[in-house]
Amino acid sequence: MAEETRKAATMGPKEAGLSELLGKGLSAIPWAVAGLFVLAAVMAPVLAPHDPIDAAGAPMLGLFSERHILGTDGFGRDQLSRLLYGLRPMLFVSLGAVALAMLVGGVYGLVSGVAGGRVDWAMMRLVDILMSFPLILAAILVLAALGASLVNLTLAVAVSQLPIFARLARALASGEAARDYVMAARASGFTQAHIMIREVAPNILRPMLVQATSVVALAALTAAALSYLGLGVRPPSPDLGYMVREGQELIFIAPEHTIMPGLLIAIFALAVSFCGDQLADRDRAAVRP
Amino acid sequence: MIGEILRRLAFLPVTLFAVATLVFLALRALPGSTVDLLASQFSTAGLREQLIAQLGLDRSLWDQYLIYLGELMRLDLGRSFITGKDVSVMVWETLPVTIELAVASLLVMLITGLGMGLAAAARPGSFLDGTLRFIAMALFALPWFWFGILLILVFSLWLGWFPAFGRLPSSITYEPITNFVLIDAILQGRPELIGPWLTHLVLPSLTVGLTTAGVLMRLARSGIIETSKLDFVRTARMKGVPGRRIYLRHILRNAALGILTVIGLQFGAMLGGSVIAEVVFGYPGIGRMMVDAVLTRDYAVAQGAALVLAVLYVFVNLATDLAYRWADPRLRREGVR
Repeated sequence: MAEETRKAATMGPKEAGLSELLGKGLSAIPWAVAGLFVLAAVMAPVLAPHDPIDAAGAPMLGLFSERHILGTDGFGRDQLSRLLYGLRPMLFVSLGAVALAMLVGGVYGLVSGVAGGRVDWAMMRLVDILMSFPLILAAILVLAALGASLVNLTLAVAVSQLPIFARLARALASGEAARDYVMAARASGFTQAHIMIREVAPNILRPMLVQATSVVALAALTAAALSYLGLGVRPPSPDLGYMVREGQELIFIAPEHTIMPGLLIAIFALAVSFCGDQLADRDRAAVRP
Repeated sequence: MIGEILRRLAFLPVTLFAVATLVFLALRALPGSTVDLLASQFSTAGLREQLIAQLGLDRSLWDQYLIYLGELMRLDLGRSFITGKDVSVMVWETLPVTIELAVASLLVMLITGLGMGLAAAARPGSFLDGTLRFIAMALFALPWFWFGILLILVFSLWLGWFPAFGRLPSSITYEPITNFVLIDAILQGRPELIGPWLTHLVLPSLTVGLTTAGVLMRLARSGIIETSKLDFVRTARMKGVPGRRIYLRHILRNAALGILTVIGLQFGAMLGGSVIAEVVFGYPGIGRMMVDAVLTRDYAVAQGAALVLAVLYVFVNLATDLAYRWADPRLRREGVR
């Protein structure tokens, strides 16, 4: 067991954060950028100047024009509209998958950590087995079994992240379970379920949320990669990952079609990485006197 | 120490069995689709039935599972549903390609990640430190596939420095013995193979190596900074040990332990990254073979590839863990779990 805690410890050593580098005033930028992405995705139907799927007779690979600000793609579809709508699957999958993984993995780790003993051992060996698949391989297998769709993509990314949350929740919960207040609760005759839900869970929620924020970027990148491989949203629905792939075929004549969607993914991932980093720093600062 | 190794090795068959079962279940959860794909080329219903029987898909899931396990025991990975080719042969053809790519990527990751980490740790809080940390973050946030395409665009299409596609140019005839180009070039006495092989390897390995270097940089940096604050380093300073010796023998040696673990963990990311890079660069490795098989629902091939990749990953993690124990005298002596 010491091995897991050691791994967890090497994963997040106390390092002063990048937020201090950005300075106090700039620390709001990543949050604003991430918020802008969410807003743009939600408002896509209002913001998009054209239908993202129907080309409506526009010229193929049209250049930047007044009618099509970012031009048209290989099928004559408006690029700006497709980019806006393409944000939706990325946000849906990354946020949905992280929430799902945190919930399921959190409950699993909580039970394992509080139960302790053989139950804990068996439950953690199961996580070890899940971890014997490289992250993206696990996701590909899930998609191979379920078929490609938005919901299945979310499930696949969630499965690939489950072990992270299960291990963290277990490490936190077993730490809490050894504390006096849990002993007191045990001595007062409260049930295991009560101890898990009412005593331990509230105390591990905060670090779990911090962890969740810091893996959103990874989830978005994994989802985009799977879409790129053709395992995500079915065309012609717009999706940034798949748009990079469609654009790759046009790389000789119009490289901007592969550059733009990828750039959006990168900016989003960078922004949420900074957000996660800030939260982790603040948490560490709170723990350290 | 020996007890620990034995304990880990004893658990290995359990892990491998579980991995095999998970792979089987994942790919048989929705049966029949391969047949639909194949049968769409022929139209009669009779042919379809014949195909199902021929591929063994008419048996119960349990029977299929037992047959699958029996074949695995004999290291038989079955045949491709689509081309009829032996999957073991396909693995033999593609796995060395992926290993070459993973090793090259590992080198890129180590050089850039450690280099940036050491440079940043030399003066924590400096401008250089800040810049390097920003770069590390940006490298992590780059979508792997997109970064690969950008490299193709710049270094292949615009500058024309490196080829963008494949492993060797089609003009070269290559008859593999081990299927590792470097080894075969030596065995067959054909040094002319090495040049084109390396130029084809540059862009894919940069794609995987650089996008994974960010994590290593952060950990190397913080490992060194944390270690240099510890008591034994102060003691060494007070004893008058020269600064260079403190850095090499005390700080780096201790920080290396943490870095070793990360490299093992990153190998998984590396295998995943290889899958993507192989697709982007049309590199004929096992990852690409697996993705193609999943897209065409060629169970046997997808199963074989997933199994081989997972087994490889399990062994690398085991090796890293044991290396960690060997490298850390504290764990060696006490035999701590």
